[in-house]
Amino acid sequence: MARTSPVRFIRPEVLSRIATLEMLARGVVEGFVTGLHRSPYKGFSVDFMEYRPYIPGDDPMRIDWKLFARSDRYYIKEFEDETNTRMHLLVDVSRSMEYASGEVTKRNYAFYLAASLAYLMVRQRDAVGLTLFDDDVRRTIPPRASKTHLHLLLREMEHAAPGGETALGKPLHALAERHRRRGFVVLISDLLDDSDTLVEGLRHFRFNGHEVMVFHVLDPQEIAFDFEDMVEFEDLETGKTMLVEAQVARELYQANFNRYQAKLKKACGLLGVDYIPITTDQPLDFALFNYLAARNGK
Amino acid sequence: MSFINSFFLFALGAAALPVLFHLVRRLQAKKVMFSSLMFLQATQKEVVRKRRLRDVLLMLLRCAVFALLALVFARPFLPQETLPFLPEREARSVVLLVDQSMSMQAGDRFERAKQEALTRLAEAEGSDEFSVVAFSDAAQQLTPLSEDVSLHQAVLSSLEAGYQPTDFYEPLRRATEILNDARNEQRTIVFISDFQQAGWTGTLDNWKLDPGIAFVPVTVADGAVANAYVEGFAVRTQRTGTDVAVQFDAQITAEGGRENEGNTALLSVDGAQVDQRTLGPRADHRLSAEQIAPREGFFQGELTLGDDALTADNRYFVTYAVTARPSMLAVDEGARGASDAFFLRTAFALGDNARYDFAEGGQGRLTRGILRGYNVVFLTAPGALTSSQVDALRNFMEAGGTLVVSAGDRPQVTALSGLLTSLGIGSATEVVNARAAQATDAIIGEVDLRHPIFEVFAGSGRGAILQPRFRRYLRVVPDSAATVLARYDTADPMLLERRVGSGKVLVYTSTFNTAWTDFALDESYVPFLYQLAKYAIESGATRHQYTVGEVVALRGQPEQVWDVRTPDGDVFQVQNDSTGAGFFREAAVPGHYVAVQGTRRFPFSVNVNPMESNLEARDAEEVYAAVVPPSDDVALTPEQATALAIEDEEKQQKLWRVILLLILALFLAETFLANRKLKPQRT
Repeated sequence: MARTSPVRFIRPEVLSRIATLEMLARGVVEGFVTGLHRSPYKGFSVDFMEYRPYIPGDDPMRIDWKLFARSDRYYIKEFEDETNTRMHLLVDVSRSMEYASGEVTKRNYAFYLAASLAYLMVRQRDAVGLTLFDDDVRRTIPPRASKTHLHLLLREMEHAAPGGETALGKPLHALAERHRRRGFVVLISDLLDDSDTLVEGLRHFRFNGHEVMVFHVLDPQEIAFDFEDMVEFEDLETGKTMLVEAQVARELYQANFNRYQAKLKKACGLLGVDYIPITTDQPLDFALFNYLAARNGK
Repeated sequence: MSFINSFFLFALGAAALPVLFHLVRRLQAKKVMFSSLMFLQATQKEVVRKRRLRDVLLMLLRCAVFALLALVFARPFLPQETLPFLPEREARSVVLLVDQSMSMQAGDRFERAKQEALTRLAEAEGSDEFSVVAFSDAAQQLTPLSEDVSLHQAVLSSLEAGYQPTDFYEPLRRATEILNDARNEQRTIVFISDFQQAGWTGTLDNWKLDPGIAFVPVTVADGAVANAYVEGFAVRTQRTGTDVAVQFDAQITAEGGRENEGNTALLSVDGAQVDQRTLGPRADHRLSAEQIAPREGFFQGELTLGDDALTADNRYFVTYAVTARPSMLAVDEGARGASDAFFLRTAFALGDNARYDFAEGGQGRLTRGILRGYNVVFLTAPGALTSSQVDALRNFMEAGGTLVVSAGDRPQVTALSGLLTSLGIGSATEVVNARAAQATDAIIGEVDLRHPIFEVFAGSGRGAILQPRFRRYLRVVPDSAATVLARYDTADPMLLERRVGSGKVLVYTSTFNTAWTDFALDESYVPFLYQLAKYAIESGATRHQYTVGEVVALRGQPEQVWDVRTPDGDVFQVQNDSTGAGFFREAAVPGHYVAVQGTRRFPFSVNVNPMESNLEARDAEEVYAAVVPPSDDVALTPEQATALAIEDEEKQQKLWRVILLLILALFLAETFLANRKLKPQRT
């Protein structure tokens, strides 16, 4: 198999859209950048510290030209050099994530999303870490803020081996125990597990003070269930088969699915967890943009 | 239930398509890998059973729709028990007209024609009677109306296509005659032919089939076929000094365009090749060749074309004679000084280069024996002739000679009138002094410039013939059988003509000398004389070319017998009657013939009619429309009547509408059933 670039997950059109928005942290992660998020200079990084006048010897690249345009003075935008925000990307690599009714599998779509977020975080000099899991934690990379680290994350995602069955409880609790410093936890998964188990895991993170976002990655067919006639379905994870009259089963399937999703949504709301359903046919940048805009509005 | 278009019932097979699709779909159960079965529940057996039932119902509905569609196109109807609309199958009288003209030799037309006739015979039932009539340009009833099918079959089997041309009038008229005596009321003419266009003569334009006779045209033509043939062939001999040049001029027509390209035309005489041409893509070709005749006597040759669809017309046979110099005799009782004979001698007697041998003498030379040696006799200023002299002259003309009579400047009007009356050309009444009658000389006022004698004066030279002045002339009242070729401006005839036997008599009412006219001094005089001589000799020449079926006149000794050998080697005998005339009527095959009577030998050639070689044909519908009168009274064949009755019945019942409505209802039911959701399962 040909080795591809580690940055293949980052599509330029994604970044160009995200980079025009200000991502506002909804909460204050323990001890850092308090109050800076409400800076009057919208459009700047949420993590910069202050402006100071330019003095000879400063790197001209650091001059804020937009501020110069408004004030006719040279200012240097000073950032926090060390990371203050930690993002934990938890990506589900179970076998159910291999499903695709179109060209993009849920697993690939999840990697696209994780890579985009990681790049964004590193660009803002925030630390980002990665955890791949199925019914257990398969690989964990602690958060760092360097570009080298970003490359490491991307390479890890590219070479991730197919996982087993989905069991969210065990890995979530293990990770909650491991990551006690508060930060962002972004869970990217199809969430095909018992909802109570999932909610318990999320609650554990919240208990530790993490800001949690859940990207529920779905294939369009998992929502529409647009099959016809008699179909023999085979479970990607267990290999079990089931003969179903598709037209008859559609209504029941959609009812079950909607009930499950509503339950998740409600539980996430109660926990203060952002729940974002996203389908693999949605433009990735469009989905991120909508989410970030929603965050900005809060 | 019966059907008008029963062949659409084959489409019933389409009703099996839904069954096929159903079975294929059942065999190919879809298998899908899915992310999780956690939201699914296996379908209950009851639902599956319902679905299968629905599928079977849908399948049956779709099968029914296909089957009913096929039925609609087949146009079904319910035949009544009494079948009042179906005519009883009555005994028929049928005349089978079978074309055996030459065009039927093209390809396998004649074999197919015979097969068609045999097929009709095989359909004979009960008291059906048949008669077989073969025709070309004439019709021949080969078998009488009878029920003896084996006789008709035997006659048909032995029939062959001939070489005669086609005329469709005769067979139709003959068939109608035969059916007039038929004992059955159902009368039918089955007309089997290639319906060649050339066979539709004008006679048929005003002829229609009698009402009460059904007409069934059956064509065996097979579309346009390539055929090359000789449309015309002329042989002319031209004496130049002591040589005789023979000119051949053939018009070849090649129907079928490029298919004839590369075909060859080969002209040979007495076995030696004269010329050869390769035909191009054009339809019309001309082959002209010339040779010096190596001797005097008869020659036989042929123009041969390469093989094509119709081989019977690929050989054109030609016979011609190269004779000694034509001879003419001027009989002039008063042949002294500037007599008529003097001017004729001056014009014709030109020594070795003369075109004609010229002799002159008195009336004592008017004997059969002497006249037999001449082609043309000029009788100028005749005195009273004896009956034997008149008989000799008549015999001379009947044998092909031409007699030219002129008044002379001292005419014995009564005697001359008697001669002209006996020859049936008119009567002489008086000598007219034109100057006294109209104060001026007469001139030629009216002339038939299309006639061979005067054709050279047509066009720019037209005025020349109007120049001569005639002071006197003999007034001749023409017989009704005579033709006036030229008149004076006084309206009296100047030149008259009448055929007598194979020859003819011409009467010139003025003088060949200058006694009554200055014509002899005019520039048009000599051309006039040579045209007159040429016409007199050529039109009296013996024919050697005939077409198939033509009667060949053989003149010889009275009561003597000619032996005529045909190209097939058969020998026919023809006896001359008391006047020496005999007629050969068996020229049925193209080729070279020879008639022999003692030491006399008369070769001739027979060729097919080129009209018959044109294979352009009408189709059966055109023939039907041309023959059958446009009337409701036209008798139909039982098959036609049955078909018509069935169609009427079907139109009255209109079952197809009911079936169409049923299809619509089934289609709606199918749509409803196919879109009806099965009751979903509840957990």
